[in-house]
Order: sequence, then structure tokens, then C-alpha cells
Amino acid sequence: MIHGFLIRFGEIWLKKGHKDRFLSALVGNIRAACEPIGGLEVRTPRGRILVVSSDGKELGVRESRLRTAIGRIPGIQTFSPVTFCERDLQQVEKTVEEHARSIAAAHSEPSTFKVDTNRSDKRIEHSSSELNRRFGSAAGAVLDHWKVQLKAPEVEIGIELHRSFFCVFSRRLEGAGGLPVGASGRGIVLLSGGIDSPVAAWRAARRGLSLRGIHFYASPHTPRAAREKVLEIARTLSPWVGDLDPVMCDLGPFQRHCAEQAPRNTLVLLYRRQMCRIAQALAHGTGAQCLITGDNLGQVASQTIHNLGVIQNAVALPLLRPLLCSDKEDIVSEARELGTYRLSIEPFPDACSLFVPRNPETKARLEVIENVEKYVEWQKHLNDALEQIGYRPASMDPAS
Amino acid sequence: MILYLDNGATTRTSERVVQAMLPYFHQQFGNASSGHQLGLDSRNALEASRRVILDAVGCGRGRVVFTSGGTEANGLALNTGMKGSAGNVVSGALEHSSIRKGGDGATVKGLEWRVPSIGATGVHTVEEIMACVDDSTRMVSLMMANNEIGTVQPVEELGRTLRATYPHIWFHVDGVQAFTKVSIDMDQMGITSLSLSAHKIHGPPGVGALVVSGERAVHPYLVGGGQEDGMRPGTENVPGIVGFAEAVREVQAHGEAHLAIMKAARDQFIEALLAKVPGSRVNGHREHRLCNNAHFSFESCRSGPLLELFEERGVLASAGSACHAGKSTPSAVMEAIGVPRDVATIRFTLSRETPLVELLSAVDRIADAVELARKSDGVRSVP
Repeated sequence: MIHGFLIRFGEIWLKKGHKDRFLSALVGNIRAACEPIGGLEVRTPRGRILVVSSDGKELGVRESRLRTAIGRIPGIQTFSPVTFCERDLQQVEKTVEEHARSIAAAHSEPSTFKVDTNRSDKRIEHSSSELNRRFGSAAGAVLDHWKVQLKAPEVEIGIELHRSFFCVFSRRLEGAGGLPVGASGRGIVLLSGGIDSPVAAWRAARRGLSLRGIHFYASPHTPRAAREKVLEIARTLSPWVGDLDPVMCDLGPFQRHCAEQAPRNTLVLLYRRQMCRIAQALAHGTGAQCLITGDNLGQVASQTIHNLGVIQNAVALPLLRPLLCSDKEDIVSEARELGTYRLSIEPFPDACSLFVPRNPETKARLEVIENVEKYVEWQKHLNDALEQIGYRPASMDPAS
Repeated sequence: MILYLDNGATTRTSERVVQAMLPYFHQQFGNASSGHQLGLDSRNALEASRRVILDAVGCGRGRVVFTSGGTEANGLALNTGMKGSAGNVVSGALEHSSIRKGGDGATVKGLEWRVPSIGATGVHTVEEIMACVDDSTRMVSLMMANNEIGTVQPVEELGRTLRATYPHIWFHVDGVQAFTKVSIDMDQMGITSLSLSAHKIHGPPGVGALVVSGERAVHPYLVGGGQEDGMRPGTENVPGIVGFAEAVREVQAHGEAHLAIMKAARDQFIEALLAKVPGSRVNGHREHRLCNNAHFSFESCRSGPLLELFEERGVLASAGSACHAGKSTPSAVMEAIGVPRDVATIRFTLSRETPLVELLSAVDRIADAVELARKSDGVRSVP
């Protein structure tokens, strides 16, 4: 009896001047999420978003897939599976009874309920409270021994009497919250293949950033399977954050060069500064305004506050670190929720640890690192890397 | 052109096998337990396949329990051999993990798990193994040919000795790698149960068998509809099983001559590589090994990067066994035969489809990759 979903988008209303832009981003994302399921239509009658079966029939087996898909789209506060009915109050009453019957069947013990009518179609003569009484008694006749409770009832039957549709719902599902992907701009997320960076990507996307991924590997030192793993992580994340389409960048030549030229305790910092530079160039090439990493304060030696500062200093774009002050357990539970944890824990060596000694620098000083970089041909390797990934802006200076 | 030298991991399913399987997906698709003609046709195909397998391993009287592969077949054998809570189980030193890890279960049950030591050749002597066997031994398990270094164990001699001295002992042999490359005669060799897998012999993945001699029963893991005499319930994978039997028939049609040719080419490959790459050596006995296996240690480099460089040069091989690849711990086999941890260990495995001329011409590319890996890994020693 479910024909579609009614979607509510809470936080967007706060952004008065940008409402239309935010809304069109959200609708676009919902359309993209519906496409693989097929036979669905996204409608936007005034002030509402509806996803409905394009043939007007019940969703049937598509209901659970659609529910999962909508639950992952940032920018949605809550959503409800709805039953449409004709523009006739008697029909609405019958649909309310139907919902009441399924509520009764789903509960072994009587509980509390209320009915809430939203009469946005002002052509209807009765007031909302009259309608509530009418539909409430219809539901109460079915819900034997249930009590009406207006504040925090166990079950709420909602009735929308909109100018262009009438519908009834009895479940309110939590959406992902946040802002629609694309509403806040574009970012480049550095994906390591570990537990943290997919979670960072999700948090950035949930605040409205549209993302492109970049992964650094070190051929031949890191196995090919590690790259496949990153692609699989990106595929797993795509229902949540959109298509990350990760760029795969070989940092191996730069790392071998550094290992020959630079003190070993500085290697991680040199690598990470170079990764940020490459990501920044990719951002410039793709119109992104920021970089995102899964850095978590103090988690490993390169993530001390001193080192994080030295890494940020390599680039002008803001380097966002959504997980900076999160507890590892919280990150892990989010990664499990996203489905990336299982992939991330497959043990593969990553590019960051290549040639790095057991006790790398934890209190790096910018002037020391900059001094070391005078002897490291980072500009040449930056150009080489950009050429390898196919992003060499015309304005880029040749190696000096 | 890609030179696939990872046939120990899996082989390409042959065209003939695929053709034999196809009708069982969309024409003769009946459930082998159904009473109608479609079901009976499937049952007939299943029983015919069973006979092919029994015949191929020289088991005059016995049963074939079809499984999902070698690991499950080994598990079934262990489950049977370890029934009871007293006594001991003797296993070879280089067993596949599906046997080796059974040792943990044995200890939990109160059984003693005995493993004889092994020398650098990777070949047991019968005396080494018999020294562990006594009156309270319930089972002896031995892998006929090792999955990493390909060394072939003296199964026949051990089987005869066991039959003469302790005829009650369940003698299980893991024949997954050896099947069709080494002659197996269960009756002659005194083997009680034998594990096989189809995808190592150009059959489909996901099919294997435990062949059990005589009337002996197997203790199942699963309960259900009573298929495979109740020893492995669940609707039979008829297309896969038909493919398995067809793969066996195809090997039989090829005869044994190609094994000798493969061995000669493999030996040439080994000699050429040893001559070309300084600091390289062959692991395991040079003669008592499968005709398709060449296993090398390369000093001063690591397996992972080396495999990447091989692949860039069109050669697909593996570090140890595929079941072990991707793990950073050294393989138990390398530990057992005393290969040092700081060398790259690479397994090249051939099949009858390997183009032997290509094989020899790949030696230069392999040598080139080793040189490069040493150069780039050598960076690690820079202070």
C-alpha cells in the first residue's frame, strides 16, 4: 500500500538566500539515487519532495531498496513511506483505517497514538482540528484499547492534504541529516585505504561538499591489490557521498628520490606535503576549493599537532580534517555503518610508511623541513605526478 | 602478451569443460534428488562423474563425496579422523592451512597434534613420520605435493608401512596439487581418504571431492537433505561436478607425455634463471617435485614489489601460495624448510597451456625485474 516517500529537508530552510540552490542540489542527488532502482519519479510540489512510482502503482519490492537509498542522502532530515489517496475525505479516512490496521498488526500490545493533519490546501472547508477529530476517531475504531496521546505518542498517523496530492503515512524515518552534496562546494579527499579517510569523506559530503578522491600508491612497493581496495572503498561509499572517481597517483618515484636525498625521520612529512601539493593541483584543475584528509590528532606519529601544521603549510587551499578531534571508536563505528570498515582493515602496506624509520619526527619545524626540501626536487616530481594523473594545468611552471 | 605462471593458484577452465557444463545450467537443469526424468538425468550425470573420479585415483571400492573444493574435503577428513577425544594425529610439516589449522581444534578436543620435523629439501622421510606414529595415533595426514614448493612426499611408501604396522590408522592424503601430475593409486598406496579440487586441473572453481576408500563413513559438518549419502547434504552442484569429471577426462586424453615435456621445459627455465640472476636459488628438492613448479628465493629484495615488477613485464606469478598472498607474515612452509625471512620467495607454476617457448624467453624480463627491485629496495639501506 506504499506508493512513495515524502521527504523532509529541515536544515535547508535555515539557508534563506540559498534555498533554491540547496533544494535543486538535493533533488538532483535524490534523482541520481533513484535511477539504479528504476521506475521512479521525483516530484517537487510546492515545499515538498516526493519520490513516487512513475506508473502510480505501489512500490512493492522496490520499497526497501528505495528506503535504504534515501536514508543515505545527505540533506534529508526525515522521510516517510506514504499511501496516496484521491482528493476525497472519505477515501482519506479509509486509508487512515488501513494504516491503523497495519499498526495494530505490528504491535502485540496496545500503546499510544495521535493523528496529525497538515491542511496546506486551504480550499478544504474543515479546520485542521476538525479533521484531526474525524481521522482520529476512524483510527481509534481500529486501534482497540489504544490511547490518544498528543505529546510523544508511540505512533503518529500523518495526513497531508496538499494542493496537488493527498496522502497518509504512519512512519517517520531518520534521514542522514546535514546538507545536500554539492551545496557547499567541491573538495578533493585524500583516500589512503585506511579506516579514517572514508569516514572523513562522508562527514565532508554530509556538510554539502561534492568530492573527488585521490589515492597515492608507490609502485612497485605497494601491492596492486591495495589500489583495488581503494576503488572498492570508493564504490562502497558512492551511495552516501556520490561518485568519488578516485585519481590514482604514483608517489613511488618521489619517495625513492626522498629516501636517497633526505634524512629518514623527515620522510613522512615530505611525502605528505607532496601529496597535498598534488591534491591541490588536482583541486585547481577540477574547480575544488578545499582538501580533505582523515587526519586524527595524535593517532600516528605524522599526526602530531606540530606535524599537521607543517603539512598544512605546503598548500594554500584549506585542508579540512573532519576527524581531527574524534575518538577512534566513533570513527570505527561510523566506518562500520558506511560499510567501509571491513575493506579498510585488510592489511596492505600503504605509501606513507615506505622507507620510514620506526621513530619518525613528531615535532617537525617548518624551517627544517623547508630547508630539507631545498635538496629534494619536489617541483619536478610534482610536475611528473600531474602528468601521470593527466592534470597538468597550462600555467604550471616547468621544473626549475 | 601475458605469461600466466600462477597455475598453482588456479588454472583456466578449459573450453571443453565449459561446453560440457553448459547444458546442465539451462537444459538438463533438474535437481539430482527429483524423481522426474529431468532430475534422473542429473542424477545419472552425477553418478557417471563419480565413477570417473573413482577410476582416476585407483579406488576400486569406495565413495566420492563431492564438496565445494579442497579445503572442505580436507575439513571433512579431519572431522572424521579426529572423532574421539584421546590419542594423537600426525600431520606432515608442510600441510595446507586447512589441515595445519585443524591442529588447534585437535588440541581443544584433547587430541595430541604431532608434526615431524623436515629438512631444507622439503621432503619427509618415512622414518621421520613413523617416529611420530604409535598405537594411539588416530590419523596420519600428508600432503602429496606441496602447494608452495611443489615437493612430492613418499606417500606410497608411507601408506604401505602404515598398512603393515598400524592398519587401523586413517591415512588421509591431500592430493589437490598432485592430482593428474603424479600418479595416484589409492588402493595400491593404502590411502584411506584423498582430497581433490577441480580448478587446479582446468576444471571449474567451487568443486572438489573427498574420495574415501572402502565402506568407511565420513562425519558431516552439515545436516540437511541427505545428499551424498548424508555426508555432505545440500543440492548437488551438478554443472560443476560434470565439469570436474570432464576436466579429468581431458587430462586422461592428453596422456602422460606432456608431463615429461613440461618437466623438461621447467628444468630449462630453472637453469636459465639461476644462471641469469645472481643471489637466486631453488627452494625444495630438485627432483622430488611437481613437474609444473619452480620456486625461487631472490636475495636482497621483497616479494611484493617484485611481483608488481613481474606483472609490469607481463609475467604473473605469486609469492608463496595464493591462499597466503597479501599476508605480511612469512609462510609456514618457508619457515619449516628454513628459508630466511629477508629474501623474496616467488612461485612460478605452469600448466599444460603454458607456452613453453614464451616461458624461456621470459627469463630476461624476470631477471630485469629482480635487478630493478634490488635497486629500489636497496634505498632502504641509505641512512
